Amino acid sequence: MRRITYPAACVLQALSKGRGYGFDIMEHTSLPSGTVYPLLRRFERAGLVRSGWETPEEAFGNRRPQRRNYQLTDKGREALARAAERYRQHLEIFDDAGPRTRPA
Amino acid sequence: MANHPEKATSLPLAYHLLDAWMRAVAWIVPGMVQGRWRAEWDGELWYGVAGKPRGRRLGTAAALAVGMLRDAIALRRLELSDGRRVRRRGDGIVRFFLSDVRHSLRMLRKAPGFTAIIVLTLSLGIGSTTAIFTVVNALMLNPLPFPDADRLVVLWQGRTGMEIEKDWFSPAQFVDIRDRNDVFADVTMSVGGAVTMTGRGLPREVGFIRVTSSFFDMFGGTPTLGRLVDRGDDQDGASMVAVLTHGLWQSAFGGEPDVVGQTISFSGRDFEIVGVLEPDFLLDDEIFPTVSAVGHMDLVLSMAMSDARMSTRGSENYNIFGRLEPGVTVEQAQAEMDAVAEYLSEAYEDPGAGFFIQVTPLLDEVVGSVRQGLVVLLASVGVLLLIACGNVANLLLSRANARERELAVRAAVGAGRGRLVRQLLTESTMLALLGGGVGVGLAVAGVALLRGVGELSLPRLGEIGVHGSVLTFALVTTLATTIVFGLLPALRLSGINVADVIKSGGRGTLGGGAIWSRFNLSSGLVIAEIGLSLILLIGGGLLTRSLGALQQIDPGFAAERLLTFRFSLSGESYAEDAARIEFVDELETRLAALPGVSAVGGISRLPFAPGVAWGNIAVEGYVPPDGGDDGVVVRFRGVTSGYFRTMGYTVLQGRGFDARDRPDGLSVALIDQRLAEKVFAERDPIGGRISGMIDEWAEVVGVVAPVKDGALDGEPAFTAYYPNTQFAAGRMYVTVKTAGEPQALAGVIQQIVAELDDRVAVVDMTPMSQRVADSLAQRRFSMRLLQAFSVIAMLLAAVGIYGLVSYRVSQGTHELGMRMALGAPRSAIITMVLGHGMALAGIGVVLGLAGAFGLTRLMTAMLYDVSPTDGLTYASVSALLVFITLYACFVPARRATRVDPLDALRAE
Repeated sequence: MRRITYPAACVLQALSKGRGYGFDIMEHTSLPSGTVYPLLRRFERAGLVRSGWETPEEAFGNRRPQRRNYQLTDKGREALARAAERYRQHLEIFDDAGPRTRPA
Repeated sequence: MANHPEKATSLPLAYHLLDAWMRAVAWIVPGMVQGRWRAEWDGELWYGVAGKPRGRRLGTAAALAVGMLRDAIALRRLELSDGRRVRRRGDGIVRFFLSDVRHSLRMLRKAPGFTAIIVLTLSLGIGSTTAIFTVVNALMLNPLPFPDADRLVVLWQGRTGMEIEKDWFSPAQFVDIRDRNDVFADVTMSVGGAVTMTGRGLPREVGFIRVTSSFFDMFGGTPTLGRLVDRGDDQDGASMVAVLTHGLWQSAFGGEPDVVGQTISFSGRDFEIVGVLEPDFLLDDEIFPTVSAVGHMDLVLSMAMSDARMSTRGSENYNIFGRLEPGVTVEQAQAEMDAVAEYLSEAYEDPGAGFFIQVTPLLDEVVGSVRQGLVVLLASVGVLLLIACGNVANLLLSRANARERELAVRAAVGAGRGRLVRQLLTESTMLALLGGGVGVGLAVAGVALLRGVGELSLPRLGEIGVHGSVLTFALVTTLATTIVFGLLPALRLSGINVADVIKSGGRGTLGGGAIWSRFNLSSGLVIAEIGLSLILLIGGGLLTRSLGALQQIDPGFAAERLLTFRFSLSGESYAEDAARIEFVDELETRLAALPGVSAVGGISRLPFAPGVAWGNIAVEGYVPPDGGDDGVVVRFRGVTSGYFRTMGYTVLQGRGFDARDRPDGLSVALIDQRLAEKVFAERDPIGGRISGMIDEWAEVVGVVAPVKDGALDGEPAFTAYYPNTQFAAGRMYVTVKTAGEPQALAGVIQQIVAELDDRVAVVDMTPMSQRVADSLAQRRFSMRLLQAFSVIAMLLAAVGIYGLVSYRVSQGTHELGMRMALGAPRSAIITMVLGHGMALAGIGVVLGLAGAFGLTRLMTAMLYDVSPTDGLTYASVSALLVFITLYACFVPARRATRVDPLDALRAE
């Protein structure tokens, strides 16, 4: 990742807050799925996040398939720190404001 | 991957629409990540769509459909971006290559045993080929270090019917040759000898070569100091001047810069030093085989071409060297020399009938004796390299089979054939480079070893070192090997049906089915390896048998506990016969008095020692069968009375020499039994008379058993012995029979000689047994190398068959398990596996025997008392090879019986 865009920074930020599922990230950042998922792919490729699967117990308990989740790696946290520096003001506002529009 | 819950609630329409959409979009996603992608979206759709309140589902579904498509496209771009980046960027090829290299190294690290065997196999093949090629290069391909060396020839004279084929010329013959030819641009004459140098530390013997100025015209050479021999030195009446070699200048004069102009004393005569020769000029007797057989010349002396010298026909002690005119072949020169020889035998009585002159290229003269051996060795290492390549190819084939599924999966997820072939080639290149690197290391060590082992048996040894061209050869060998074994598995791979391989669950399609009856490329390689190694083994076996036979030959004397050395008596104090005889007598008396010495003797030229002394004798009452009057060519030897006893010669008739044979007494001689039978036939040799070495008639007083003179496989030469009291040799070998270890006396002997005359040097002190053993050095050298090669070849072949059978056992686990489950006894399994290996070995042995039958004829000249088709060697070596391969097959066969039928079946 040579340059972290604003949406990317938002996704990283959401991940750092423990929003590990695609839909949760979409809800948290108000970004559309067409933005969030490709970002997650690129983050994973660049080693900023690693992915795993929800435990079967949890998924099957809710009578649905397992969901894929994402976690920030150390490299991801570093990238977030750099991006945070850049988007400090936006993020502060964003942090306080929380989700502003409806998801998806 | 995502598992669906066992019982799903009824799903909303939006979910079904999105699910159908997802399946449609999934084809965009590359195959290798497609499953994961679908599972992820499946999870998200259940969660995000099915779990939402009804009213919000459709809007969400529309946004998700767009997002899914964008995600699929993005993922595809991302997954395929590696390949595309390569084509776009300049550094792509390098990066691509480096990634291949990294991948290869990972693969090789994952299989350390496999890698080690291949690298070892390759390095043995490459290392031995390079080492032997280095020697061949230095000896046979490198020109001699002289200007226009390919046009230099050496001339020899001989007489048909004479046992001596290479004889030296007289100065008058040199003049005849020089003036009667149009084929030589230059001709030069030289003569060698040895003198004792005194006044510079301990007395030492110094080899010299006497030359005219044309010598340096022909062989080049520049002075480090002063000048070389020049035209002025050739003039009648010019005084003899000395040119030191660089070595003598350093060792005897400490490299003093003002040595030119000094006077040096050799054998009591003074010479002016006029110059020092350059350090690199070769003056070995391999190149300048002088009559006195001095190993290395340290001194160059001038030789005036006086009328007296140049008209001499009696002294046949001179070498003649020629440089061919440009464009003239050796054959043309030979034809012209034939004409000169014909002229000489008609014009002069001395050479007589049957006289011939032989023209030999100088390089042939130097390396001719070892050429055949080297060619055989070169062929052998070539075969060894072939076996090594075959082995490596086989190992890689087995591995490619075992990796078939991995490669098929990679092909399925989008790796192109070219990419896979490139990957395999990178891997084998890495192996070849590793093997080549270790191999070059082995070659350097091997050349050092060859220099050590071959010291006594290889001419021009000083020049041998790993050269640039040889390294190039190693590199070419390595690359050729790489291509051969790298392409085979890659080519096989391209015939694979990817789907079949993946379906077969990794057992591999090539190994499936009736593996035990299959004869494919791998079988062929193993058969070839066994056949080739058998050829080498038979070659090594024949040489071993030859050497054994040679070592059994009785030289005619007892060489054990016999110390020998040489000294020379020269200068004014030994000008008189009496002085030389007295010195020898006194020396023998003192040595005999030493504790532990049982006998002492002396001879002018010892068997198995360098030096020549021969000539014609006339025998009273003997008429040669052809009616000529040439007499008989015999070796002349002057011996002391103790010599025969020391050497353990048997006096068959008459007596040996004793106190009766005084200098002023009746001239007497002993002859060997073969000579006696030839010249005296039915007559009693005792009392017969011969003449030749000594001008007057000498009476034969005894007959001794014939002895081998220079080679164990040669016929004993006709020899006439004269008592030293009448012969008065100035150059003498002393033989000392000891009770204990002969070398222990070395110091005392030096001391005794110094006490008698501190100007006399003790030279070439060697146990007699060593001299005899050294005469076999060249054969032993060839034998050891061929033995080593054949053992390596056999081991490689064993590894080859072991690898193949092991591989087939592992591939055939299912079949073996099935057989055992159906009640096949262990012995049947072992028989089946062994039978498979032995079938390969059997075919290999039959082919190898046939090959050996054809090829070993080429080494007939290297064999002694053994037929190139010696049945015992063929049978015993084949048995050995069969035994080794049987063992190599037995290990995997035993493993096959340990297959648990249940495991084998469950693996399905």
